[in-house]
Amino acid sequence: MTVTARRPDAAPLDELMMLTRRLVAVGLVAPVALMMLAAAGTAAVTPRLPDTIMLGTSLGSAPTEPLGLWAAILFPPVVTLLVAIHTTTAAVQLLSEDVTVGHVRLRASWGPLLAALLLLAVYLPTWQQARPAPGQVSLWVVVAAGAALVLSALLLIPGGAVAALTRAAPLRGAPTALRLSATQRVHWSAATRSITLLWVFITAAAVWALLPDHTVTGVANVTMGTCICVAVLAPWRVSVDAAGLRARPIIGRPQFRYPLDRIDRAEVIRISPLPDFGGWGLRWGARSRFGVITAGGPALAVHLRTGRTFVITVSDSETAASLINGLKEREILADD
Amino acid sequence: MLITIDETNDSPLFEQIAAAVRTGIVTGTIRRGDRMPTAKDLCASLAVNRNTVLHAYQMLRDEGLVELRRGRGATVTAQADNLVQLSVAVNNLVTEARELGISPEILSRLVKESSA
Repeated sequence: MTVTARRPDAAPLDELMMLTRRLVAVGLVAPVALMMLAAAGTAAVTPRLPDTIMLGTSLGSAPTEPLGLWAAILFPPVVTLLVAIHTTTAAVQLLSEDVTVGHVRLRASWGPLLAALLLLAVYLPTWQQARPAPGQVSLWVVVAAGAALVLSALLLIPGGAVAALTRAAPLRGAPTALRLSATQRVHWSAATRSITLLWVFITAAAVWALLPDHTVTGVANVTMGTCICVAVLAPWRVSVDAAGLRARPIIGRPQFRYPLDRIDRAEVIRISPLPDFGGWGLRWGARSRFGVITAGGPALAVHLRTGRTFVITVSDSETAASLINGLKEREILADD
Repeated sequence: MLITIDETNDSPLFEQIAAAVRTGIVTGTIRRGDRMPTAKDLCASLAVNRNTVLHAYQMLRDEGLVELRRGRGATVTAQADNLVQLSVAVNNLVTEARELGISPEILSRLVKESSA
């Protein structure tokens, strides 16, 4: 018998089974069922359809690419089934591993998203080419695509309707508190990790530079402006001492200060900027989390007494978390 | 980087700060290119005089481990990598001395005589 090692803080098995069932239902069964329904409906009206269906090369474009009728009927459910099996299986495997819940949600959302795209890109033009044209069927295809998009969004939005799919995922559990004597004085400091941010900035700058005559569109302007603002704010300097935690960018403002008496505890969590916080920079996420997100990976999460959590992607966050917990313990012992 | 000092320790405070930085380099929490905390921040956190912090930084500069620049503060130099390499060799030496039954005092004297 093979015994798979599971991390100590992993969810109980019955909870994992329930999450697995939900992921399979939303990420695999629902999109495949939608596609099979659409395929069956299309197959039922084949006498009214031409032998070759013309499809657009992108959503909304004029149909110019020919595809055999049965290929157009069978291709979408088969592709959706294969992709959804792969992504959902990967997401289910991730559930029991040491990864961010954002990754799990992101993976599982690909199946419904693909179903929505195929409904709009293949079945909608197919039904529009039926002669005589069926009644409200185009509307139903759009409604089905909308339903698939909602499923995808439910998986993507942190704290959405399937919030039960998400769970706090500490990287290695709460770090042990650093043992400090009453006479010890401490200082810990580090900078935020900014590798991702740097690449985002460089890519945005390259895209902007490649625009003809720098004729900056509204979107490019906003993207560039945001990237510059975020890049200026990074890196942040984080320090911990007997007074508490302080985080500030190199330009000095804005800064966050959390005295020890406002902190409940600290831990290291693993985050993904896009799915967990919707991007980089100063961000607000689900479960009352906010903070400075400059890269994916381990991050220092400081749980405040107010119920909010300050998250910052600082290097050596494990030492910071254990120091904060150690200082808290020493404070409690001193009060006793 | 974690810097701890203890007022009950016999060593002077500046030496404790410098020793904490050296330990950080050897354990890998402080790396080449890392910025050291400013003297103002460090003296506030550790509740020591600013001159104590500056004394520690000057000591580390003399050892080649940090570079002090006006307006840019203290930065860890490439010498930190050499210290890491040396610490591996020192660990091996200490292990071997222990296996051979040579006391730390004799080993220390041998090292001093060899480097003299």
